[in-house]
Amino acid sequence: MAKGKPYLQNGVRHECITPVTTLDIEAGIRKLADYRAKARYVPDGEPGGYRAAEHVLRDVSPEEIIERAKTAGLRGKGGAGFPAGLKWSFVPKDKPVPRYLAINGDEGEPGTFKDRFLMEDAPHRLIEGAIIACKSFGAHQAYCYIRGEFYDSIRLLGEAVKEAYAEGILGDRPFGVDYPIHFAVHTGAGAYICGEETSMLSSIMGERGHPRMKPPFPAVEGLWRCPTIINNVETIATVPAIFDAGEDWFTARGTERSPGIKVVSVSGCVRNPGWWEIEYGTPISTIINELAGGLRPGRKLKAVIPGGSSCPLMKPEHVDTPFDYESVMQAGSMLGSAAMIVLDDTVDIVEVMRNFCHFYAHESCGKCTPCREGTRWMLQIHERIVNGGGRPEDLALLHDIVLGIEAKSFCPLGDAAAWPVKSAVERYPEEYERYFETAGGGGEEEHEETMAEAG
Amino acid sequence: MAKKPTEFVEIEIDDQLVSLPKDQVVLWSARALGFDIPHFCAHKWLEPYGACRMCLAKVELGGRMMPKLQTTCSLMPAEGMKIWTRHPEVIQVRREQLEFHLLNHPLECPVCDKGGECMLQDQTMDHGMQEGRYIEQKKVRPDAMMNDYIRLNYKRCIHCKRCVNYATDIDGSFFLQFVERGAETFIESFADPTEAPRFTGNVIDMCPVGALTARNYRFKMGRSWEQELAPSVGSLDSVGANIWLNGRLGDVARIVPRDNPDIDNGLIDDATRFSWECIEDERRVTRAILRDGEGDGQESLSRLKGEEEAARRLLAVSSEHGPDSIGVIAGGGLNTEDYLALRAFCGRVLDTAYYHCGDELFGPQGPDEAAVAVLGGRFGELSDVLAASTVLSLGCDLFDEAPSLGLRIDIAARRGQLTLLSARGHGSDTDRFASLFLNYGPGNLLRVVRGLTNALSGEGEVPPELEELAERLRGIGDDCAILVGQELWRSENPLELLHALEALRGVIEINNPEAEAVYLNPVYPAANSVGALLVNDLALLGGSSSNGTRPPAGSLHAVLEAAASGKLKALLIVDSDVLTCYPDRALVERALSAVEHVIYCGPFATPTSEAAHLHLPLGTWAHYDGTVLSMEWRLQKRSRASIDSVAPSLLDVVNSIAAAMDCEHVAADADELLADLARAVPGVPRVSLETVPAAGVLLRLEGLPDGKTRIVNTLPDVVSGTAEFPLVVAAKRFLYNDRQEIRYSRVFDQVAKPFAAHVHPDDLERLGLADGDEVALQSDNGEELTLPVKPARWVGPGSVVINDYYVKQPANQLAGGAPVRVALNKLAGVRED
Repeated sequence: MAKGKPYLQNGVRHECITPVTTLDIEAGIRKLADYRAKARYVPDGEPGGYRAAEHVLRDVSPEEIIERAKTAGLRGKGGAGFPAGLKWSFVPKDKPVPRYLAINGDEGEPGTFKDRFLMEDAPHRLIEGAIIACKSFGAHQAYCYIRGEFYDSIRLLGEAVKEAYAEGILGDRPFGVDYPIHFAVHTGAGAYICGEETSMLSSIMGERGHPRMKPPFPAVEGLWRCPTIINNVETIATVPAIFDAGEDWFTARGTERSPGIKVVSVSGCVRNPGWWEIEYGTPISTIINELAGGLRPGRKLKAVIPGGSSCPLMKPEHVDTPFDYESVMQAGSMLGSAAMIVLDDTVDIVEVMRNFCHFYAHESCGKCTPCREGTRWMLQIHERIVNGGGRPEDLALLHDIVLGIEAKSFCPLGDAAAWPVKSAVERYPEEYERYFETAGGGGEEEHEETMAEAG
Repeated sequence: MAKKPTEFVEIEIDDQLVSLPKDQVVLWSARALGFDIPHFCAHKWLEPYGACRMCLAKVELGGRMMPKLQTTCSLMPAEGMKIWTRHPEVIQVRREQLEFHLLNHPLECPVCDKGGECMLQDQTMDHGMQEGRYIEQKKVRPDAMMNDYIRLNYKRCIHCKRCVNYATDIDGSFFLQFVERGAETFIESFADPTEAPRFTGNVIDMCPVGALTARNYRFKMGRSWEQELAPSVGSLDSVGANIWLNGRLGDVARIVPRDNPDIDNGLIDDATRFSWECIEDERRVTRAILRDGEGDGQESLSRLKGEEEAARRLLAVSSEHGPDSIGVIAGGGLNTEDYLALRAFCGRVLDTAYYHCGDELFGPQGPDEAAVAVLGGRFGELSDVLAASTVLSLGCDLFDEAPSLGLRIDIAARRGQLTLLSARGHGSDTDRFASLFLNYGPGNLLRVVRGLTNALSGEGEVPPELEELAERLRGIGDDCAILVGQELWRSENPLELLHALEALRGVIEINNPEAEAVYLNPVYPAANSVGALLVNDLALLGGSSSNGTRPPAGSLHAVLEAAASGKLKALLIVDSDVLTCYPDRALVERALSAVEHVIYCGPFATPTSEAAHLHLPLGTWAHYDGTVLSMEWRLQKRSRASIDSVAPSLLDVVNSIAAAMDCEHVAADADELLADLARAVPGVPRVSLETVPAAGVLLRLEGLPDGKTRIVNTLPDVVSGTAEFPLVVAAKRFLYNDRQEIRYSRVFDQVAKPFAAHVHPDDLERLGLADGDEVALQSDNGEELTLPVKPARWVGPGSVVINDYYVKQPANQLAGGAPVRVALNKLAGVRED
């Protein structure tokens, strides 16, 4: 797909793919001139970028934008899947204060790599989406919050923004319309917590990245106590297609409750890791076998984490679950950011959990007690188990700790840390018991090999 | 806005129907009703934070159970809401969260200073598990000092963030911050070394565990339950902040706030909090000191011998020179009964009218009816001031002069609950949330007050710089309070200023007909200035003299003048450092040298006592019961601390002197004096020391005269420097100065010293001086002070701000009340401080 990204070059196109945000990447469009001349909103559409934004700015009323987004059933693609049009409609209409759009490009969820490519390779599509979203609820300023490690994203999106300003697409009179839209790229310092929406706002404002109390919700009091809408990069990048090809085009794809398309990023024990744009409802097995090239020969599937490291592990028997919010939820996990991590039978689940716990203990912001203390405790227990000090009662203890964090932490980070451990303890107790029986666990060499493969 | 009635909402808590205030989160209302919801991070001063997860409760709203448990610290009550605080699910969560809290907390309750008043300990007793399940490595970190007063025990910290939120949102000093992330987070001090701490001690009370402790309390004073509590009142300012004076085994242990929502709301300043050390400092004078005649010789006498000696001298003077030959001066920090005793002593024993209690409030020429009526009848309660929509602070640095009130106004201004307008001769932190601040330079208060009056009344000259402020005062449309402070008392003519201020208050009232009231609240120079005022000017306040007492002959100035002129032969000075504090130092010096006998009575040595021939011991405010009157005329009791050391009250001293002079005793006890006062002044309630309510009683005088205020609209000239003496001096009251309570408490030794001359950096550069240079401040009247200079942006160009109470370099050496201009000359050599 995108050039210079070797692990994507072998991506297999499949008929279920209906690229929207990936079109620019396919065509190698980064420059504004190319985007205006060549970009297509949908595979068989007319070329010509910024057409949708100009049309919306000139002729579409805010109410209509929201209505159309609602009709299209556009759901947020950051993890929770909240309907975007509904979110835009929450901004209070009567407050005479500035409103802001904050685009979340923090992408901290382990296993997720989708926003990064959108920002690097389809920056104008993001800007175009931002213009439409801004108009929907009366914002004149958009921020794109990018984590500090994404050096290329910051640079390339920054260049695109500069181009758009130079061409009069952003600024005080975009497309000659008297509706100022400004776009700022804001870099974070690489904290997972800043992907949580209120922490991101704190970070943009220059404060410590701690989540804030809700209510007031950001749509009422966000940046500088003004109404602020927070959307994921992918959500915003999907918007232009809806306004060019129409809501029907969008709703014709996907499932009834999860219409449209979604970018999945697949990693782990597959032959061809990468990212693809799929329709909601594509079975997980299809994604693994047909897009990601399947498992290596002779390996058996042990677990699938469907939506990034914070989602519960799915057992192999659920591998045919359709990939949409409701079905994955029914199978006992979450779609999350659609970052699928595939684990085969060479993987040591306890070691994976130790790794996850290390991540969450390191990234817990320290604000609320269950997350701050619980993540550290879980890490210490996993380290002890892996180092041969496991006790049979640790399984029950881990389960108790998880229950103390789950739904009691201040923000979803606690849940994110708890759920994978909870599912591992409940669904893979034999993995832990193996450690309790044989001090030190089994298959050190095997395990190292697997980790190297998983990248 | 004026105080509004509270609206209530009916909800169900634990299946009981209760009604809660609509605008308060459930946690506080429910706790007030006796539902014991635990909490660590929530605090009544702070915004909801929701981090500790202890206050979670099961909530049903609109017939639908909320999917997650809700933090009651952020939950607003709504009609039809149902809450369960003792549901098994809730109890289970508390146990879980408590286990997390205790993971890294050391098991050292038996040696922890917080033991017995620790919220974590209480909750562990209620909900904790009998055995810990944590077998991993605990987090450890060595202790550290957060500033001069506070030590942080890292291991005990449960990361509730109360202290950090306090430093961010309440006192705004940002001296504590979180560092690092997650479980590695710890609290680090970022105290500004150039700024003296003002309100930091409150974090010690806030800390729910024993992590933040006071340096002078930890590991010394034992368990909280062993302490005996004496209710008292802050004695460093006129706010009347309520405190507990804790004693243990005969020693003072500490001072903690005695939260009174109408006054301090539990916020007290560091000076008040830590000044208890002076009460039992070994430098306190416990025996009489006789300094007579030749050389430096001094003789130590027993207290009674000293009092007999005093009686002998006073008797000799009065029998030789007759009535009115003895002058009596008392400081502003004594109890009301002390003043009453002194007044009776002057009338019935010494037969003199030359007495004065407290600081000189009206200037040399003394009070008139109108000015006294302004002080006695135009003020509002502090709760009224805080409920006003606009506060105009004139010539008053609230953080230094009335810290508790200043901080509450600061918080309200930041939260947009009131508009703070401020004008002063220099800037300060106090103005950081003022919506308008005007620096008019030292000595120009009268000009500003009259200028504002002119602007609002439309008559007379209006300096252009006042237009904006005047505009803000025109359309308030709601209650307004004028706070006026030290610049009034320090001005050349306070009487004139009081008339001008009352005129300003009047025109603001006329301009805002919607307002229920416009208050004029002076911030007094001492803890009991109002008590002293009441005793001095009893007749002007509608009282009648009785029982052989005599009205005073005049102001403090009149007493000193009479002494200096030779009319008085002896001076009795009670706990007043007039030599350092009275604006006209030369007059005090002349008075002290002219009289034959100077008798000083006070708990500590001061420059004045060192100039006296006889120093009699006296108890501090913590040594005997008494009452004080705060700036809102609230009569409150200061109880004797539960301590072993014994020191006489002033009534004891004068009774003893009277007995030695073969006179009848002045009064049997303080209650007799209070009863006399209630009889003499209409509006003073009948109370005894036993019956003063814990929250005090507000005095509202009924016989106030209708004095007519003079309205003058000519403006005095601007006070500014000259070519030769370019800087105008402002002697400012700082929180830390050489007051006895500060000077004799060792905990303050390292704080805020050395006192400096604060000059605007531009002036400093123009004069070729650098930070820390030792300079001589040479005044236009030929006097000189030596101080290090310190650049300060809050000082206006063309002025220099010095500490008004510095024993070594007294500010009154420069000034005689009138504005003083100085030149700065750099000195070579090193300072010996």
